[in-house]
Amino acid sequence: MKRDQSRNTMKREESRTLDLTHPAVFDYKDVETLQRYLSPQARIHSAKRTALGTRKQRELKRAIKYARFLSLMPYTS
Amino acid sequence: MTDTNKKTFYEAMFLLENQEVRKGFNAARDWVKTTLEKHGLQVKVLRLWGERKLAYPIGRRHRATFLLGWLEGEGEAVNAAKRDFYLLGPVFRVLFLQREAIPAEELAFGIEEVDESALDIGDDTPPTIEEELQESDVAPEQPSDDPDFDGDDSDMPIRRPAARPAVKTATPATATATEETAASGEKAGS
Repeated sequence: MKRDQSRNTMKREESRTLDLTHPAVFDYKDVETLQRYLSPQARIHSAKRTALGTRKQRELKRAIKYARFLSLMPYTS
Repeated sequence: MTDTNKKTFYEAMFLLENQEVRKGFNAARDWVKTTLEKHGLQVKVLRLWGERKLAYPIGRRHRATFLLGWLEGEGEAVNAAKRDFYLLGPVFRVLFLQREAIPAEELAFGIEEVDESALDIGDDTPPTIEEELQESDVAPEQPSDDPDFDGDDSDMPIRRPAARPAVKTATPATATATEETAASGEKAGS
């Protein structure tokens, strides 16, 4: 019973990851690409969901924050 | 020991006021260029990146013209230039980012001249409620599952929440009064 539960949880986690083709470099000017990594409330998806490595997730976070500063992307919606 | 006077490359994005750009884009661009050069920065590229709606209003501005620049210079000069931009001129927001090198495709632009007559600067009026609703991601109303529903619910009976049962809260004064009447009734009965 316990084993089944953990299997279900894993399945749910897998289905949560975003099916995206990541760009080689995250650019703050490429708003359309960055928009795909945001939730409807304009929050940045977690690394678990984006399936990005630590360095790439940090790169994404910085690009989004630069875009937000320049009012290319919203802080919230 | 680190060299503080080391020259580095910077990518810069300037947000220009549309009101100023309407007077003349080339004049606004030249003002940005002279301000950068005044502080000892070498302007390699300065080009129009676009004119677009802002994701959120910045001081009653809803649209802005974006100017992209690539520079070479010292960090101190960048800070001094940034201070100048925020004090006066058509620039109301600026971002400087340190870069390894200037891409070749960007270098090809150089100091770009723009035909001002061909430039379409949008109106900076705030969006109306209808426009905001159109842009927002509010889901449209789903059709009702009820086959008898004609889409107009004005003739439907209004459902009001059921009235709550009244809770008797006897105050101490009234409680004593009731006790007294009960006692007098008992006496009369006896």
